[in-house]
Amino acid sequence: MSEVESHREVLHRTLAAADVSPSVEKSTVILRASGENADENRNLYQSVNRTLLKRLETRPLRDCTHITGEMRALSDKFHRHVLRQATKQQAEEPTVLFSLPRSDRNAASRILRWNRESWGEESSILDHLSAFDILSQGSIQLWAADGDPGVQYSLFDNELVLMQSAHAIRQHVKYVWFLQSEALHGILSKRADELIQTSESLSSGRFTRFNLNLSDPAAMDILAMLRDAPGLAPSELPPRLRGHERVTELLDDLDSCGFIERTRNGFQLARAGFEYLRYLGAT
Amino acid sequence: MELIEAIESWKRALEDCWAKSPPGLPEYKSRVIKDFQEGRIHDGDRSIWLCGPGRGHKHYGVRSALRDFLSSFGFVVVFTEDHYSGRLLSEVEDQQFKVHYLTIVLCLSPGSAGEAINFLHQERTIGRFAKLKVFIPSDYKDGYVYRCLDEGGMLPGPRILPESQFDISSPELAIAVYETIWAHIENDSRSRQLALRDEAASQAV
Repeated sequence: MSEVESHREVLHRTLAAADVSPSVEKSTVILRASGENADENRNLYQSVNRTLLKRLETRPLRDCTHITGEMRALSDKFHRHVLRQATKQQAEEPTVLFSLPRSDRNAASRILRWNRESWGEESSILDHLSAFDILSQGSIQLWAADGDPGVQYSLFDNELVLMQSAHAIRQHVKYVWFLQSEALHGILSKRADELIQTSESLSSGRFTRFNLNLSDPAAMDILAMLRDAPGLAPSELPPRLRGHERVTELLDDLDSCGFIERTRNGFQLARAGFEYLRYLGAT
Repeated sequence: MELIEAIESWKRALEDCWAKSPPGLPEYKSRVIKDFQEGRIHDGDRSIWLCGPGRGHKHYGVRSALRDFLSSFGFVVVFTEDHYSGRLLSEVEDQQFKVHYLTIVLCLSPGSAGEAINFLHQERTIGRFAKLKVFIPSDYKDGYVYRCLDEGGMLPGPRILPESQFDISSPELAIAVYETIWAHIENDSRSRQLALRDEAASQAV
C-alpha cells in the first residue's frame, strides 16, 4: 500500500468516525497532509498558520473553532500570534474546547498544572503564560468538556478544516490533514455546537486573577527573596507578605508555574523561577 | 495632618517599602512604571479614574489626598464629579469606565458601594479588561458588596484593608493602591513581551 493510499484510508476512517458521508469526503480537497511524524505535523501546522495569517491581512476570519483534547492549539507560538491577530479583527470570538476534569476548572493554577502535564516538555512556561495571557483578554470562548471529545479538529473561515486522526490523550504526533470543503466544515461545525452545548464555559476572570497575582509586587518579592535564600517557611516571610490577604493563593500560583518548589519546611526557588526573573530583567 | 505633609509621609513609606525589596527589584519596579508612562507598555489612555466618597463625606479627604499622591508620580487621576457638568451621571460613568486605563473605587460610602457594583456589571459586559480595582474596609468582608465582587474568583477581587487605614494619617492604603496599579502595568508589560515573542517566532518560520 502506497503512503498516499494509507493517508486516504486513515482519513476515511477519521471522517467516518465524525459521521461524514462518502459524498462529502469525495468533494473535500486535501490541501496538505502529514503522516504520524513530528516534523511533518509541524510543517503542516505552519502551513495552516501562514494561510490564516495571509487571509487576516485582508479581512477577518469568519470563524475559528478548535475541538481539542488538551487545547494544544494554544501551545503553538505561531498560532497564538494568529489568534491575537484574529481577535483584533474578529466580531465572532474564536472558540477552544478541551477536555478538563471538573475538579480542575475553578482555579487557573489547576488548569496550568493540567496543561503542563498535557503539553509536555516541549512547551516552556512562557508558552503557558502566553496562552493564559490570551485567555485572560476575554476574547476567546473557552469550553471544558467532561471526557474525550472524540474526533478532534479545527475549523476556519467557513471552509477550512484541520483534521486529526484518532489518538490517545497526550499523544502529540498523529496524522493531520488540512482540508477545504464548505460541506465538511458545516457538518463539523454542527458537531462542535452539539459538544459545546454539553460543556462548561470557563470565563476569562480566573486567568486574569492568576496573571495579576503573578504580577503582584508580593509575588515578585517572594521570588526574589527565595533567590537570595536557600529556602523559606511561610512563617519566615516578612510581615508585609504574611499580611497579604492572598499570600496562600500567590504561593500556589507560583508553585503551579514551577517557579517555586515545596520543601519539607516551606519553599525554595526552582530553576524556572530563576529563569523567569532573568526573563523579566528583574535580577 | 496637613495634606502636603501626609502625601510626603506616604511617599516616604512607599519608598521605604520598595527599598526593602530584594536586590534588583526596586530598579525593575521603577523601570516598569517608566516604560508605562513613556508609552512602551500601553498604547491607549493612561489615566486613572478614582471613585469614592464625594465632597462632604468624612472620607473625601483620603480620596483627594490619594489623587495628589498618584499625581506626584506622573499619573493623571480623574474624578467623575469634575467632569460631568449637566450630563446624565450614568452616561458619563459608562463612558469613563471604558476610556480610562484603570478604575479604582474606594468603597467607603453607600454611593461608592453602588458604584462598584455598577462597574462590576459593566466589567462582566465588557469582559475584556480586568480594570476594576476595589478597596474595601475589612469590616465589610462578610457583606453583600464584597461577596458580589469576590464571588467565584471571576474578577481580581477587592483588596481588603482595616478601616483605620483608610485615613490620611496611615500610608497603607496609598501603598496598596500604588502596588495594585503597578501589578496591572506589570501584567500589561509581560503581556506585550509575550505577544512580541510569539510574533518573532512566527516570523522566524
